[in-house]
Amino acid sequence: MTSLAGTASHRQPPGIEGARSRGRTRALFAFSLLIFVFLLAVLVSLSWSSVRLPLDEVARVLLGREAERDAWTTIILDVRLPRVITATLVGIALGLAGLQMQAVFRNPLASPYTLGVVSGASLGAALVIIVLPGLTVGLYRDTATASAVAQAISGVGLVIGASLGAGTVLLAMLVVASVVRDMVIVLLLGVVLSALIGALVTVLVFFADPNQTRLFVEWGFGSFHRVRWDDVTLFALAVGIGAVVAALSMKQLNALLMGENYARSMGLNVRRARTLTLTSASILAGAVVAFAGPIAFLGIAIPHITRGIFGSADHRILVPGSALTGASVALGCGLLAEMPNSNLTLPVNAATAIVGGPIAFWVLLRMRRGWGL
Amino acid sequence: MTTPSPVLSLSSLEIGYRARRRRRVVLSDMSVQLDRGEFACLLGPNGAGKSTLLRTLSRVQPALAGGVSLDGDDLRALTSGDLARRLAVVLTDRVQIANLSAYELVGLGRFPHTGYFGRLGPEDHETIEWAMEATQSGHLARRDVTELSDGERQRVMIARALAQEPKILLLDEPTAFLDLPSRVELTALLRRLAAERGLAILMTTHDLDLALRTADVLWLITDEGSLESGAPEDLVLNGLLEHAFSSDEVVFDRATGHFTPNRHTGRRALVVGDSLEHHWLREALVRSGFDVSRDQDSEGDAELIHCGVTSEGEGGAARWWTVQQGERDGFASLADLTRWLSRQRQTLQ
Repeated sequence: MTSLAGTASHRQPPGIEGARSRGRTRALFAFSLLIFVFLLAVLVSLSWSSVRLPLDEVARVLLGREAERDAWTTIILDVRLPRVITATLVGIALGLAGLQMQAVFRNPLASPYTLGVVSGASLGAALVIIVLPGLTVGLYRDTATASAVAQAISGVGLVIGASLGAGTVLLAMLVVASVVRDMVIVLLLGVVLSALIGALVTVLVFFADPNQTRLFVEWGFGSFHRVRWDDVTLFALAVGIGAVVAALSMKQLNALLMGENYARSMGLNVRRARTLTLTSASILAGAVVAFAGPIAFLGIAIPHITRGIFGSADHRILVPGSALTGASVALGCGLLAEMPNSNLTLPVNAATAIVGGPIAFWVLLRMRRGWGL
Repeated sequence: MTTPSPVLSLSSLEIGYRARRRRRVVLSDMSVQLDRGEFACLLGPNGAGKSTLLRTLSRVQPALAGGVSLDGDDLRALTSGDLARRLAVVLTDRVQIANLSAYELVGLGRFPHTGYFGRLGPEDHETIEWAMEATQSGHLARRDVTELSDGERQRVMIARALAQEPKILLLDEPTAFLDLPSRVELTALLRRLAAERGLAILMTTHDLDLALRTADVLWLITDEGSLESGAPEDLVLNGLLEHAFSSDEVVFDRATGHFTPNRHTGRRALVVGDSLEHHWLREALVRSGFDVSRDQDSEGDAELIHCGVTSEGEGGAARWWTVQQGERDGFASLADLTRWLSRQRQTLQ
């Protein structure tokens, strides 16, 4: 090993042997396992759904050849692959956003959901789905043009609206967190803010016409089906930006583990690190809410599952780990929601709650032993 | 040869808080210095501004006036990275991070020395190991920080600060939650680090006894809001320590350097003899508020209670005795004796 070359003259103090590499084997093993599970989840998601396709056919299509039947190629490439990519991106985004928020707030319960970010994004989405069409109808007397414009807006507009909503709430919570020292109160304020925003959304829905209401309620169930090939790039871009910021801030997140004062004493610009991290978290959470709806529980659960798998608090492991774990868990939830071999599909939010709920429970019970971060 | 400039130097420093346009000055006109290898204790009553001073020195809050220089450079001019490589802190903030080994915690101290991703190179690992060895915490390296005792964690926190390779180490009440042996050990450790590694160390403490016995220099915040510094003995001799800490309840004994509760009652006792028993009999009487004399000539004094101890076997169970106005009483233990004396005092009042 190269690192030992420079240490030939250095005598290790007794008892310290092995401390350097503690957990390294486990991390390597866990990463290999997670990559395997992820690939398996992708294959199974492509093959199992309302109609079950043979795995070898799936593999053949993925490798660029034609399937036995033309319909299968279409199903796999145009229906299931975007869905699988959406689920993967949702998992990565929520895993990273949850991890970032837990590190910045130093609270194991912080997540895009508990801090009101998702409800902020909902308000943004509600404004775009419900209020904007009304405005466009007002602007363009001709209904055809109006609906065309509304259509055009609802794609990019939904993303922008949801991101802005998420960002506004996060900013507000950031201000609150810098004034209020007690993080339990910050979390409770997040819950209160969520309820307030929820009330606004309820008012909007109450006055909306039935079609828009139905659209909004369906949006609220969460779904991996909505993203078409055209939108995948935009979604991937948003998640990519967030992921790059997360990757670049691993060292800062580690410093924040010890709290603001220590982080500052080691030379970290705490305010900048916080702003950057939370901006990235709001882009990630906002993109998810825009493209897949308000997906519950994954944001809080994935970082904790990752900590459990790796037994580490090091964000240089947890950032890639949460992305990988998130992708697999989201694919699993998607699979559960599809209810393979049946004509039923569940809302994705039901599946994530079934998977994420018990984990959130477990985290709360564990909190007695210091805070589980 | 020029004299080495001090590592930490305060010149006419004024500290406090600035809220809107009002300034609340906590301490002003502080001009003291700390050299390489010196271990200093910062003493002062609660609320006197010890923490504010530490916060100002570590640039968490700005000074109101005057200046601080670290290793020759103005504190305000340093980049945050430069500052972190010169000055490290051990705070009172509780650090409880699950799944983090003591080794990894010490490794976090490498923050100002590592690159963008915080990757630890061979030199970083060597520094971490050196820091853990210097604080005698190498055997804790693989343990989770949540499993450490308070004393062990404090040593790991000091190792983390050392891993920053600073020239100055500031510690905010590092001994506060420790039991007595750990306190003595930790203070001795800090003193050795200062002397052997040439660090300038400043720690705040309430442990006056320990500070008097171990610090090279005391920084004392007085009631008048000034900062005085000097060797512990200097501050004893010029009466500053006594002035700062004595009250109606507590008296400072300049001869021994001890603080004792003021239990002075004006009663007097005579103890003649030099055995170990006699020594502790005197201690017990002083504790009960007596002026103890050993002058045999004053035996005739009627106010004086004559106390003593019989040699083994002679008096049986009642070894301790008092003679008061010709009346002799015997006691099985010093507890019985002091209890009787204080009961007697209460009835006299």
